[in-house]
Amino acid sequence: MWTRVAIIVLCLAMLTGCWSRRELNEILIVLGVGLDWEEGEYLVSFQVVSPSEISAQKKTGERPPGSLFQGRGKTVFEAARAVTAEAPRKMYFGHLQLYVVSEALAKKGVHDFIDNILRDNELRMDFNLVVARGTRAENVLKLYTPIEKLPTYSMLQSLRNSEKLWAPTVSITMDEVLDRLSGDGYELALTGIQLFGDPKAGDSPGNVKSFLPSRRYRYKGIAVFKGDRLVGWLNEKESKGYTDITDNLRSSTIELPCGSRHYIGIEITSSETKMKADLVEDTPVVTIGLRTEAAVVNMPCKHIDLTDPAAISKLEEESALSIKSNAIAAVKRAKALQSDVFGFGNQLGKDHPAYWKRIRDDWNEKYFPEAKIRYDIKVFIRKTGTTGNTTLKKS
Amino acid sequence: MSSLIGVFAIAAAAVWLEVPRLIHREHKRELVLFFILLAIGVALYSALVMEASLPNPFELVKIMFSWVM
Amino acid sequence: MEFTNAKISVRQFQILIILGLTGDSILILPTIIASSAKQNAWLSMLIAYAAGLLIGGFFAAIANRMQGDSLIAAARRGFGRWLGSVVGLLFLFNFFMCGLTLVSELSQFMTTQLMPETPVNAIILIFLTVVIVAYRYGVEAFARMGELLFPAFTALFMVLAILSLSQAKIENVKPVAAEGLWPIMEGAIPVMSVAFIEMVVLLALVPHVATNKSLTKPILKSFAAGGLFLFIIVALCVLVLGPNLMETKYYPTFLLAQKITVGNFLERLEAILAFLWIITVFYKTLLLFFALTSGLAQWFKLRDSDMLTVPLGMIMLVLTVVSTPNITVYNQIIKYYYNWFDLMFCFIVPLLLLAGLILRKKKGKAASS
Repeated sequence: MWTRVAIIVLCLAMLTGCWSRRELNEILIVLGVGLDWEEGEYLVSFQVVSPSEISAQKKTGERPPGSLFQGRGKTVFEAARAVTAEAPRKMYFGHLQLYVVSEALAKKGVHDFIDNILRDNELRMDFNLVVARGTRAENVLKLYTPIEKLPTYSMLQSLRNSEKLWAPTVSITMDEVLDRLSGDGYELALTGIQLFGDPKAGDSPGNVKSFLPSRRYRYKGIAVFKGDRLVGWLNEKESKGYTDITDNLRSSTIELPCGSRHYIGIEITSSETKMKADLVEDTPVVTIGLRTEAAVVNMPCKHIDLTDPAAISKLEEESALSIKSNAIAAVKRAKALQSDVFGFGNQLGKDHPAYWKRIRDDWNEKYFPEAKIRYDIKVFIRKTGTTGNTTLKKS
Repeated sequence: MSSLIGVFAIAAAAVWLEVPRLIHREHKRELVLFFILLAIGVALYSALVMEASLPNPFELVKIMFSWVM
Repeated sequence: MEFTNAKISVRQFQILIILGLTGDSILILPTIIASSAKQNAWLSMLIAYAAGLLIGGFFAAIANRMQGDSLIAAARRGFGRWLGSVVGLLFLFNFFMCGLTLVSELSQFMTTQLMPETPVNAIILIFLTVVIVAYRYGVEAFARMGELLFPAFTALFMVLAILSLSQAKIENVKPVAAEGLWPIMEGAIPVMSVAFIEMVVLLALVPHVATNKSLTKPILKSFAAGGLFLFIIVALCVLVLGPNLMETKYYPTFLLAQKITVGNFLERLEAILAFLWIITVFYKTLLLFFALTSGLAQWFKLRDSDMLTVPLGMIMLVLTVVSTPNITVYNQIIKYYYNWFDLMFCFIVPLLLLAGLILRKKKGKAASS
């Protein structure tokens, strides 16, 4: 009987804790990490959440919803540990949402710190990476944003929504980054984030006190990487082409001019891209097939009759031309930068592995700029909104 | 040092658990084998705790099959 | 604990085999196959699956000839007292080394992914304690526990498979067999040895199975089921993770579990799914420990085997810690040398045993006629 009691007490003794326990009040939940390069070291900014400020009950309203802690080091890991000299708790990266890399650092090369992210067991692979454009990464993380209390959450949702609804952005998660950086034939592309407005107003609550915040962020442009270095940016038209070709397009808009001052608005409701790589006389030819469903959302021109099927067909052709011009512009820019961000090489490797094996080392420099791209774009306009032709009088 | 005491504690617990039953049933062979294995176990564990270098058993595997590679 | 008196049913025997087959393979295999076969890992798995069924038949042939004797006794019957004891010793050596690899695997997994600050000795100590206690309760007890845990295991496995399926990209399997057949074969060898051939340990369970009929069908069925589990996991890893991620990360199934996200509310399930792996690794270790301890007791012709458990546990703990000074050394041995060890001790030696049993039977027949 006593042995049983002894064993039970021993088991209870083991329940008092284990080595790797981390209580909630001993960790700092990091939501965003910003990476800058300063004087030969990494300057790492951690945006941590202040749980009491975002809870529904206890908030005092006076403290910001999060805090920024910064550390320096030759590796990101050293910087994270150096922060404990300032921060009251240890960082916990399990909830990381956004990783901001400064443009200068991206130009130097991202390989070094990506390796650290890979090895860490706390970091999951589902956070997004963006490049801070025209500003330092720490400024992006210091921004007060309206509506959402947590700035990184606001930026994350904006990135994902704009990828779905607006097009010239892509939300790339860490595992996709690893995939792109691991092979040949598919280079990395990340979205750029820019800050607009009054630079001094961003990091104080006054920023969100007025209707239009003084300092705002916006995603603009897609950064083209070659290997692990940033080599150039795609503008809005080229970015749209990029998302079209890489099958990231879910919904977007097309503006077709009619007359000199008016634009027809077409909403793309769904889109599917298929890529095929062929070998014609030993040169690669990539065929991009695009099937897009669209709807007319804005028709200011009286002379086009929306009840006439021929008019719809004409609109479909014009939309297809618009998409094609976006895609051509994107491909042209990528060829100029000698970086295959679309994955043509990857597709070639899948369809013609023997040929790809031969040319993969020179793909970006020699073969990609010469590759012929064929476009097979079909737009189907299915709807015109809730009206046909409007009865609005126009002057 | 405290780890060494821990090792001997585990050995003592094993003895206390097993030996009375074996003596009661007069299983001499089993008793001998038990003590031999326990001695080997305690020796190895003490060596580990005192950070003496022990041979890696997988080296044996390596030697056995290095002619294949 | 008396030896052949404890009886388990055929169904329990099958469940133990399935749990033992998935064992540690479910954790480490995808990385090993991917490093050779990359996106064709699923093909390697298919080849190994077919070979595995043949191996199952081979083990069944031995099992059917054991006639209720324990493994050591069967060896002695087949080869006579001296040579049979040597063969038995070879089996025991094999079980011991296999057990070392399994405990190493678990300790590395726990310290890499789940509990990095815990010293590895503590994890091994607690794990081995549970194994020892499970052994001392007897084979009937842990067979019943296996029967209980099996539905939970299958349910969690189905959850993992179905929820990851939505993120599968069929593109990831292309190009198929671009580099030729050799990388695929190279990837199939570790699967065959680590998953299927190491299951020679089932021979230690055979004398306890309560049936007079042939064991071929049950063994083949459980090999088929276990192989199917492994194939699903490898295929999912290729489809969802892609060859690059599968090759880089050490525990791709953990990554697979991390990727599950359903409607933004069913997330972060990987700790629950770690339960899956701990069950399978525990059962395989238990089977090996069972084979080792009861085999050792039979080798010395002891009447009782419980007293060997604690000393053997201590020796195993020490040798596990010694044999894995770091993960690189361990991986090198597993990748290059251990397949041959498995082939030799889990295939050639049982082959000798089968030959011995067949010859002895023929001799017996000739003598009696």
